[in-house]
Amino acid sequence: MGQWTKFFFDGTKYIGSDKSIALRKASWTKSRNDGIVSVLLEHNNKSIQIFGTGNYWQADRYVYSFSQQSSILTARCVQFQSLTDINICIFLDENRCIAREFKNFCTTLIPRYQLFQLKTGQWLTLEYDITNDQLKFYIKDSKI
Amino acid sequence: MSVNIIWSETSGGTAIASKDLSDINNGAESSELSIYLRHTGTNPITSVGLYIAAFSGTYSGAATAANDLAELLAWGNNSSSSSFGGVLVSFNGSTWPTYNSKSPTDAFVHRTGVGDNETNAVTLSATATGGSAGIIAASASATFKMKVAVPSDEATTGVRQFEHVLAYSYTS
Repeated sequence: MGQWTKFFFDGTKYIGSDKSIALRKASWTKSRNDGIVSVLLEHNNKSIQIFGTGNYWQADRYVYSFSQQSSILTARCVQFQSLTDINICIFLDENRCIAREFKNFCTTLIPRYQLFQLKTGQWLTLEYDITNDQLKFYIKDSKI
Repeated sequence: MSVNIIWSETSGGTAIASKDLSDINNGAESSELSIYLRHTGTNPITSVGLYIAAFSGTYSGAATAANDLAELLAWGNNSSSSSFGGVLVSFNGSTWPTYNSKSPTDAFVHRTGVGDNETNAVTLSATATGGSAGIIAASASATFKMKVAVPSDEATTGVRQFEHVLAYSYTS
């Protein structure tokens, strides 16, 4: 089980725990989505977090088999779309994946950090692949 | 929150958990099976796609679940008319894949790299969803047809079993 947290520029936050969502007491789409400066998603012992000013989205991936008649959660994702071309720095280790907007890149190669540019309109996607117990990041042209 | 998917043979019908496609002779196909999909989410499910997987229930086939899946995919891979077969899907109910046209518009055969695992799930077309490709709105349903074809040169008789699986995304 886990939860995601929206952090807003005014210092407030909104938490969507799996339990509260299942009880329909919390919702990503029905809660505030303007002014988000960071989203943190925690599941089991893994966490993914994005810092930046732009649009955010959260989605979970499931598979549902004909014979099993039940859904299986296979991945949890947070996405970020910048309104301008920006530089992104990613920190990735076994349990954490953190993405942050940076003004300037340092030129020294630091282990576990990866640097790239995110173009306007692209969705930076941080994912916890539950099936393979693996954190990953990639860029998509659309929401998940 | 998880969202339940209901597979039924009629629009709004009761859920089905298995389907026996009966005996299929060499070179023949099963009857076309209409599948209706709806879900219990209050928001749309998105990135909806289909793939087949090894049967995960109590196996009662002639070989193994893994072998059956590999065989079905191999049938779909074949490019000769006598060796082609497998799990065929039509999103419009009339167009079907063939040995030399494996993914025509609104149809495909499950094969290696196409509908063989979650990563390669085939997105439901707009025809199937009645709206946007890959999206089933809340309180809406999608529909497609499927059938199984046995190659005419298949030499091994026996029951084969597989799973049809729906992959999708959901945002609360």
